[in-house]
Amino acid sequence: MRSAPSTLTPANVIGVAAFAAMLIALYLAIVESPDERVQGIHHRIYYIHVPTALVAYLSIAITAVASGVYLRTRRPRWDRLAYASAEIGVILTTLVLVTGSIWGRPVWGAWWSWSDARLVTTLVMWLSYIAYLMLRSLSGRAPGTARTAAVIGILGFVNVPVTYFSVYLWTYLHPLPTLQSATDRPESAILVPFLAGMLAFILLYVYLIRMRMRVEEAQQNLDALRAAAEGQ
Amino acid sequence: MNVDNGFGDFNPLFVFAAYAIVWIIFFGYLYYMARRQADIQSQIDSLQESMPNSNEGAEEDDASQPSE
Repeated sequence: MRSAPSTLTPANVIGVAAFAAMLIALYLAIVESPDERVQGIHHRIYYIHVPTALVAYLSIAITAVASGVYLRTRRPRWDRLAYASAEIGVILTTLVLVTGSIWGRPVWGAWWSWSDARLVTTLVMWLSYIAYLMLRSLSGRAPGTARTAAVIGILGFVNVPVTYFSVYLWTYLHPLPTLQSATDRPESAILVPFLAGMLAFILLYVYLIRMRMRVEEAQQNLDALRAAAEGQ
Repeated sequence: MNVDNGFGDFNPLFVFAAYAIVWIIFFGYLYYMARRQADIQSQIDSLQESMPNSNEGAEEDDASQPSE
């Protein structure tokens, strides 16, 4: 008789830790964080917008590294990691664009500005990884798809430093990093909810990556079974 | 930099919307992946039942290159 699978798996522990960290980060950002002098209540969007953006950069960096290792070793595990990280990176970048727009409306008076370099470079970054996912989706498991996707995954990363440094190179609407520009609040009032948000999103990213890679591995097993069934 | 935006300078609706969208998207994605995993697993199970000797080759093998 097979024993019931344990629920205390590393994946489940990470999932519960991510959920708890998200709740703590939410509490610190909404309840504990004081209002900002100019932006009022709206600065609280920073505590979800900035960690989302930084973890989006991380996921795209992991896509690029995993793509590079895949090109070198041709091991499918690295391709699965690159694919999973790109998909989660697109979701995170979507959330960066959406939460940034929601913040911009009350503070700037506009949802979007085509004149702001940070906004436009982030959109370009998002589009380049949409192209990556479209290639994966449309080509399926055709020969060469993983190799072509790996090249796009590496080239797409070039946009990340451009996006990050765009606020220094072409200053317009988007503010500089909050810890550098804030003068009216103690650093800890910003730092604690920010770090809680970072921890929450990193844990969530790890959990999602594990889950997404497991789905991709199951899909590859299913494809292999189908091929075997057709061969019989 | 604060502007008269017609919504009021301290409207909590924007903060609520930003947090709600993030949570809804993440839970939606988790739900989608759980459903997909269950769907693939049920297809694997039914295929394995129909071909009892086909377990070999279905497991992951890093030496093989199914993507290429």
